[in-house]
Amino acid sequence: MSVKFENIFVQFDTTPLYNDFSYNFEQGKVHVILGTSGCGKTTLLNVLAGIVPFKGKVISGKISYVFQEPRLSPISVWDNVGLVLASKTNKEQRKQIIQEYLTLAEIAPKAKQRATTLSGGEQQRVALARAFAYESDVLVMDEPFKSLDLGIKRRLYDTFDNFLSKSKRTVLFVTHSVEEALALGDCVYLMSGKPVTITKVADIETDRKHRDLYSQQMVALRKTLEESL
Amino acid sequence: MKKSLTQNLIFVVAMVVSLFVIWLIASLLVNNTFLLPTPTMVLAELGTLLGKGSFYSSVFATLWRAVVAFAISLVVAFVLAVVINLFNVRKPVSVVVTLMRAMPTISIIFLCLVVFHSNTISIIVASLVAFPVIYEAFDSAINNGQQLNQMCDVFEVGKMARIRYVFLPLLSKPIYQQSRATLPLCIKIAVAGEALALPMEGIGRDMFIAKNAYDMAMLFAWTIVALVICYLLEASVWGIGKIISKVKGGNEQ
Repeated sequence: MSVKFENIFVQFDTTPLYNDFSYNFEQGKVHVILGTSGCGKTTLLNVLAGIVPFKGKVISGKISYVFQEPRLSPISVWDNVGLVLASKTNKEQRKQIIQEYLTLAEIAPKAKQRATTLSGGEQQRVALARAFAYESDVLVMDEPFKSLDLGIKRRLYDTFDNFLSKSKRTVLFVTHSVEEALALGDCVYLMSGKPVTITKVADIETDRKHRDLYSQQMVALRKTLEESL
Repeated sequence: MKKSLTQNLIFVVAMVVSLFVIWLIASLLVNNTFLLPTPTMVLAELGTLLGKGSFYSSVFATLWRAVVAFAISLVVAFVLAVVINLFNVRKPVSVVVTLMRAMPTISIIFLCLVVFHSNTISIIVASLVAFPVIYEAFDSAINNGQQLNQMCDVFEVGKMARIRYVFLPLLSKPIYQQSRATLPLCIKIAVAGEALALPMEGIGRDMFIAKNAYDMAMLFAWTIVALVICYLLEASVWGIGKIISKVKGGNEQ
């Protein structure tokens, strides 16, 4: 399902952050939104998730969200994933789904461990497993790999890709890292505020798995995006 | 772990012995057993107390009142903290809790004296004093977990699952901390309440009788009993916490 924003208006202080903002994000693609800190990227995701007040209309299906911080309850890894499935599925189905997504996230051996005692990278794996285990049409990701080191980040990119191959969804991914945008996005958007506008859109044709971030084309795109930021 | 426990015990014993020595010196300097009885007099009085059956029923009565008061405050604070966070109605409850916290304990005791039976006054007063303390710790723990609540909103987590998987785990640490801090407080308040309400049995009542008889050694002996009970209660909660933590395999206590 596509994500459609219609005439969005958001105001936190005297100047409106979003003023009559409309955009249609195409179905089944990974849309990466780039922008400087405070330009309103996270607010757009929060409007979509319905956790900030706004005027206008958002048309989307069910949402799952990977937040900047993992937001895990101090219970086991297993229960953290099970929590979002509690009312949707029967016990056997739930067990199967949790096992499947924890295995995909390569965190199954730690299923019984208290989630809040895991490392940052492991916690973010649990958050990814939770978001994908939840049956949604749209996945929202707000700089989920921000505070992780490069090695862990790259392994999580692969995890993200594995999840996406298994369970296709429309993804809205916010970041301020051009490299991350090029590694993960099908479409990259440059955003500027206030009020928010999308100033540039770049489509990446190459499949994520076969993408060479150091190819001439990608290096050129990277340069253009970095200069426009 | 064992070493730190032994060190802790040695420290406590050393502190108690030092206090007794200071007390002994002070009582010798004051040289007036009415103002300050000597530790030996108080220990002798304590020995006499321990031999009486009424001592144990007084201790049990106070302990019972304090534990019941604590249990009432804990349950009410838990339910209220969960409900206000589930339905987002913090403001009106906060006003009431602030009023309760600010209200002088003696006013509560006097008001209760008019309305309730002397045997239950201590329970009511201790609950009313302990409740705001426990409630605020619970509310603040859940409020600090607002991000989790927001996550639950996005993933459409039901209210029962939220209580079981989010609120209860968030509150397990404050429940332990508040039990350690508030149970001894309940003993203190219960004793104060008993001294004014004069129930059938209770440490506070016996202290009041000792005071009226100008029996300072007895008053001191009862004070030591109250202190020991507070210490034992705190130590029991600590021990239970350790056992639970070991069984659950957690390391966050």
